[in-house]
Amino acid sequence: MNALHDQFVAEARELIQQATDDLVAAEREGFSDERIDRVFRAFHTLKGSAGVVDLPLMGLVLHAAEDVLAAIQAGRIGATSTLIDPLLASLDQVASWVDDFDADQVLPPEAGATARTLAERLQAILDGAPSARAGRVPTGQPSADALPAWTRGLIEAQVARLRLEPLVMHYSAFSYRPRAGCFFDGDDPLALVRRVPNLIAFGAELAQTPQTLSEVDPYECNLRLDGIAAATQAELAAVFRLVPDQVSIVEVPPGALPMPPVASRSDAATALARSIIQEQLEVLRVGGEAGSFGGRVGSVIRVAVGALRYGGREDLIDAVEQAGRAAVAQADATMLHEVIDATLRSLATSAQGAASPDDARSDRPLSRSHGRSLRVDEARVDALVDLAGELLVATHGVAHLARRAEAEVEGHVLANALRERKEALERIAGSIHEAALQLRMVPVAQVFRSFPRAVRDLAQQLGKDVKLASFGETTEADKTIADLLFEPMMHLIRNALDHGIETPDERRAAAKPLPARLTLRAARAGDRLIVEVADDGRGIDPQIVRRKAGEKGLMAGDELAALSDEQIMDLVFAAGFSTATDVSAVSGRGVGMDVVRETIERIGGRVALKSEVGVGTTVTLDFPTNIALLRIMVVETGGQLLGIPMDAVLETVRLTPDRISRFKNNDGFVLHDRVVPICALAQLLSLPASKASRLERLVVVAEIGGRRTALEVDAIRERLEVVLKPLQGLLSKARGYAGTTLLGDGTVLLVLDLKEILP
Amino acid sequence: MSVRRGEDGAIVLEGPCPVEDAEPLLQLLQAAPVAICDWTRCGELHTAVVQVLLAVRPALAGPCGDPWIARWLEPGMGAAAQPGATQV
Repeated sequence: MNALHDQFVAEARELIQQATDDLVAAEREGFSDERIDRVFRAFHTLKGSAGVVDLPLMGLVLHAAEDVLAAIQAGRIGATSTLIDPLLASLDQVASWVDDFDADQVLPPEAGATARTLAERLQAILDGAPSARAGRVPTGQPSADALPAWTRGLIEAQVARLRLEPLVMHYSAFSYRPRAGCFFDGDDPLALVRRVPNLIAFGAELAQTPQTLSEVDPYECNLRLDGIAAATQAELAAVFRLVPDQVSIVEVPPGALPMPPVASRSDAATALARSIIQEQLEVLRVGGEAGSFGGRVGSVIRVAVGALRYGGREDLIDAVEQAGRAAVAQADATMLHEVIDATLRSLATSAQGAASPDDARSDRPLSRSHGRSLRVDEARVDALVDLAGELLVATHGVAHLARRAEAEVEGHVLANALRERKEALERIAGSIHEAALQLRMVPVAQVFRSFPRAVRDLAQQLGKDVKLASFGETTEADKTIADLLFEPMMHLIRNALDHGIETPDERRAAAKPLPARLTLRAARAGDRLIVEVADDGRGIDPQIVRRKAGEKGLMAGDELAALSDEQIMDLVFAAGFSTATDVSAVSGRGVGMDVVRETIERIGGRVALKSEVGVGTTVTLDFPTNIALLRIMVVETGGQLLGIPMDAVLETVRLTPDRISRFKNNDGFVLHDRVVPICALAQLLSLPASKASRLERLVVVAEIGGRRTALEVDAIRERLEVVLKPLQGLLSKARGYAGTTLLGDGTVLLVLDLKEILP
Repeated sequence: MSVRRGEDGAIVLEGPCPVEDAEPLLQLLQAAPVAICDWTRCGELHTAVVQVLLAVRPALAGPCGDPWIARWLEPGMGAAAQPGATQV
């Protein structure tokens, strides 16, 4: 990848994001002159850049989109959502191509067909508009009827496998009948065909079918090789120049070739699946004798599943089958109704959006295009952060030098000078470290800006009317935190739209304002980043949560009764809990909130939920603004590994018995003219004492609140920089531990909180 | 020789198969018309070899090791058998 490519990728991502933002806003608020100009410029620049890096397919789509935008600009057509959809779809496709290009330097093989479909879809908008541009149909070429029979037969036979490329104006077909004796002359006819440029269809058949196996003659060529290539007649003639007598070549007008069948075919399948499932809904509605209920549901499910499979929507089958089983078990089809309704909705969106089959489920169009650039290679910034950290640690060494100087004769002057230098060094190193960390800080707007589009698409899919408001987008957080923020926030937004916010009808009935409000808010509180996702939907009823938790067996009934409403709400984050009664394509199968909590806590954050029935739900995420690394020393005692925070450790000393004396009831020794008591760490933690009695004793001297204590351990292992995870669940009340961390081999290491364990 | 009879009775095409392979392949197929032909490890196939396969239409264990043939001709050459399955 060269610099030009890099620049194209970075610039394209920015332009795509900007144009997407503007299009989504335009749908809500209409196109101002300024906005349409901006979108047009973005598309135009993209098209130009695509040309520079030689991506004509991307250019084709963008050119078609540009035509539509020009029509809007000229006021010929208005900006409706039927028009915004294909424009957004083309941007999505271009974004995905940019990702492909970034990764592989080429577009995927199916790009040709996709580009053609998209361009046609955009073109169709203009064709339907009052002043459609005329004269685009290519004329002056031989019509399909004029083709020889063998070419027509070839096209028909290969219809399903034809791979047409857009922008290609010339197609030629060849029919090659090699001479019977060509093998003796050393010819390999297929080798010749292999050299045909841009072959798009090819077939080989025996010219005369032998009646029996013994009739087959391996020495005589008895083949007919027919094919179509995206090439001119002259190009093909050049390939077959040595056998002109055995080949016929004709030009094929593009109009004679069928459209790529892929998109239209799957759409038709989806439409068919849709109408079949619609019928099943009728079957359910009609009702019948109670006795036949089970059988009726069974056949409805079988038909629906078959239809889904045919429509290529295997992803929806599970939900339908599950709902069917539940309906039979409860002798109630209400839920099945809802699931089938939801299935129809997602079929409808995929058909109308010409989206790929799994779009309803996958987050592809919603996810940010990855690799948003810091414009500096992240690794370089990280290296700088690491080095700044090491510099900081290295300056601590000067303190050690100062102590040694002190011990020399007349050394205290030098020691003082060293200490002064050390302080200055420490200050500078600290500032460098701080500045390096600042380099990794990005505004959360980078995360927030993908949400308007996501909310729009989801709301459309769910038939809800929602207005999104964001605040505090300039708040900064470490890039790692910002990146991790996306998933949980997307989850919360999906939950709010799917479960929290009511349908427009429900809201009207409850006299609540329309559109519903979804608010994203980011703020800084000290060194914490607070992010809020709030909706004004139906809220969560603690009574329902209590009942559900009981039903799901998350807790015993009496335990549940003893919990306050606040504690009950916390159960929403328990694994396997979901208050939604139905399973929808957008969110929720009872996993989710627990994943949100887990993700947040992994980076040292907290999640809190506040909800009022009928008023709405607010979920607050609270993170550190940067992932602070804790330096720890791993020690072994009583057969266990434990972490001790390095900031408390002064030094480690190997003590010979003669240095240890008894002070009152405690062993101790003298270090730097001060008596330091020795405590066995195993004893403090009530771990079994080490049996082996050694002559030498190993201690870690720690200073907490001005008091020094020597902690006796069995062994000292490595020093590490770790991300500390707070204790959870039962352990959360255990005293003496600051948290846990994972060691390289996957074992959990408890990190001590010396403040709490030292006597 | 790039055409041989495998231990499990399958006819195996291995490496590039030049024009000289057409006759031995035909003889093997004539001797055991229902044998599976395993062309997963073949290299570039000569037209004459392809012609024998088109004429006899044995069960083929694919995918064909010659990518060009795999792309353009294999889909039309009948149901591919599973490699390793014997029918003899």
